[in-house]
Amino acid sequence: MFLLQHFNRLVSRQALGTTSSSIHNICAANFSTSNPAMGIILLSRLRVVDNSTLGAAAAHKPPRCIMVYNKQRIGKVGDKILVAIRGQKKKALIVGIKQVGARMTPRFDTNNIVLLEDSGNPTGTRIKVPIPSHLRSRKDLSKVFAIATTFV
Amino acid sequence: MALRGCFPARLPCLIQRCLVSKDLKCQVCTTADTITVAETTADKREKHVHDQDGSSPREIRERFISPELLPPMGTRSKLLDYLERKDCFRRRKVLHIPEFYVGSIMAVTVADSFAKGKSNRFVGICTRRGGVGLGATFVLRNVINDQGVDICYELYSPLIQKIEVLKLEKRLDADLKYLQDALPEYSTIDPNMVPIKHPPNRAIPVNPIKVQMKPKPWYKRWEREELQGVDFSILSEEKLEHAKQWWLPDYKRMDLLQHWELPENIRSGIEREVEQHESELSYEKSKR
Amino acid sequence: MAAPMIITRVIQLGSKNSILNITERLTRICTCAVPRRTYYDYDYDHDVPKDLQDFVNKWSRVKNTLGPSPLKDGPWPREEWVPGQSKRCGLLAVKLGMVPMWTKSGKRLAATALQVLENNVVRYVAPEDNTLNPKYGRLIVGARNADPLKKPLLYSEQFKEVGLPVKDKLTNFKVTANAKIQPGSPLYAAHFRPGMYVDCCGRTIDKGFQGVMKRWGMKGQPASHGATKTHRKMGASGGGGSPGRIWPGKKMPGHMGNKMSWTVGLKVWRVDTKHNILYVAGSVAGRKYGYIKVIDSVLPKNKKVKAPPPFPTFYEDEELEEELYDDDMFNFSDASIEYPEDEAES
Repeated sequence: MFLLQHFNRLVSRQALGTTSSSIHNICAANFSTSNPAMGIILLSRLRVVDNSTLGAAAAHKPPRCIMVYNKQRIGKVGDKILVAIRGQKKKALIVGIKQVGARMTPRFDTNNIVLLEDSGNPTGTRIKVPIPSHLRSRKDLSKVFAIATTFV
Repeated sequence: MALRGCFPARLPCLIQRCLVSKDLKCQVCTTADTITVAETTADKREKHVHDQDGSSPREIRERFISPELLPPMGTRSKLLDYLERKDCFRRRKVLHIPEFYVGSIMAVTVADSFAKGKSNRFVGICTRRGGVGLGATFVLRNVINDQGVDICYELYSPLIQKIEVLKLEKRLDADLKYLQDALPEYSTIDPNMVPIKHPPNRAIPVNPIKVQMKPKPWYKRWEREELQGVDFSILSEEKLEHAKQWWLPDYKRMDLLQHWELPENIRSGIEREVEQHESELSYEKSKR
Repeated sequence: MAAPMIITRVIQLGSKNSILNITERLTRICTCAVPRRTYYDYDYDHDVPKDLQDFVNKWSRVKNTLGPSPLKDGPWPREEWVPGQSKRCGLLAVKLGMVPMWTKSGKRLAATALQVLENNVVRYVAPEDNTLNPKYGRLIVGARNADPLKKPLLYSEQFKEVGLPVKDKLTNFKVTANAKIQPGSPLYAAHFRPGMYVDCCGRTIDKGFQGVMKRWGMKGQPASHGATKTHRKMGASGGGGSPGRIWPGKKMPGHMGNKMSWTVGLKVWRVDTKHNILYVAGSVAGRKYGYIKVIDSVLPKNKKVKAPPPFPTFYEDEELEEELYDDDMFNFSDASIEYPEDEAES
């Protein structure tokens, strides 16, 4: 029964001449299977927002999250993660995600990170994009906020 | 960004063009100064009335009631709704909450213990309104340093110190969430924007702009919703035709509750409360 | 009795043919002479003439209040609150819904609004007479005036001696002997004050017969990878050889919801003394417009509250403001929150 329906659908599509175009669309579309409503999980694609050379060099191939350092393994704003970037493993801080968080806090259009050294100091010297203001309650991250330009 | 190369050519000076007020032509009398808003989905209750001789159009605006004051459909306690409204009016006496719509450009000042002057100002375009009573919210959107930012504000939160409307206008749609998948020009607003005054007793202008979308992937298949303010020219005609069947599915078309409206007696009661609140406000002002 | 007398006179003015029939029915209705008869046993709308329906309705609600009331004997003496020993009466409230509130630091709370609707003490059982637990007495409290025509006879007769209108719902509260309240006296929301902690008991929403995943939150089995007919089932239920049986109390499918459940340690943030509404922090088990029992919290949280509660209850001779707020709660007529400037900067 299911096969018959599928066949009928195929036939009707052929009659409209859409079969080839739909296949073409699927192949050509750079569609994303990750849900924008999720936090940062394993293999999430990220965007480096500081001016470090490593981050600028990785522009053509986005870095990916390979570990989230918290119990739930789901990264939110303020969590530290491990990132695979240009064949290297680097630690990073999440400074903005697509997921809608608590009210009165910002939601960003991209998943933003700032690269960190093993000592906890930021790799770059300037952060280009705005950073959520409520994150400033974290005193252990004051070195990151020192290089930020704008807060929202 | 890796995708930047495949964007369509950007429209020059779009920011200026979409932000400067545009007067629409009235469909009835075709005079350049007047504006019709009768057919928009955003607000059906405004009327545009012509005198019998047809020479001088006069606009009748009904009393504006903030949407969170009107209770939605459902089994709700009338007493609790009334008490919530009373608290709303009490807060409105302290904080001036102006009339605004989805599409208006606003600035919100919020108390922030970490900021320099202990407060934070954010300018953006209002993309959606939600919530009932004291739980009312609105979302502002702006693009700062090539980074799109949305903030959902609670309208009655005591942290809010000031709400300003920089430009009072409406859009063709009641929800502008699609702006996050549109080109950034359409949601970029200058944070030092000078407020444009809206003349009193004039109808709210509707901005007829149609936004260009980024290439997919999107947050949602926006072509499947009946949107007026989006230009889907990047999609093929076949796809658009195919998407139309989701505009009004059968279960929505046959659903009588989709046409539910607030009963007139409840609405008039709330109108009376708003009237009383406004008269109290003006009395307090005159006392000062 | 006064009721049938008045009604017969009224009816005699009407048509003569149907007098007997109607008077007979009305006497039955007004005196509740028919035992265990409820509203669906007779067709109220058709049997009673329309011009009389309103009168019957009002009279049936009021008639008890004209009878003898224990409040006329003079008030009972009020005793002193003994911290750690006295146990106060509670209230029977109706859940209206939830509303947001803010603290003075700007933190958002969700509060449940509980309306204390027409609460009256119906009966007091002294500790000596309390066969179940002779340590404590019992106070029987009723809420929400009801239509006696819709209640059984035996139920509605117990309000006659107290001189109260028939109540929709009755509960009892465990109290110490010094916290007794005179039957007939009303109870108000000001019985609780902002800052106190309460426990709430409501009947949870009925979910019907539910499987093990919804009822107990078990994990179930995978959707694919060769699983057949076991996707939402319980896994193993116990040992094989020994004990060789299922332990009592094993979590299994069954009826879910529709049982009483307590939510303990909720703070009272605000009391509306005009409309008799309690605003309690957090959610309370039970549906909207369901009855909810509110008592002083059994947790030691209440020990921090220094001021003694109104004992044995709030009486109308005490003057209160229309709205009582907790010290930490943001009052909507206050100015917006502003953080003070740091001294180092200024």
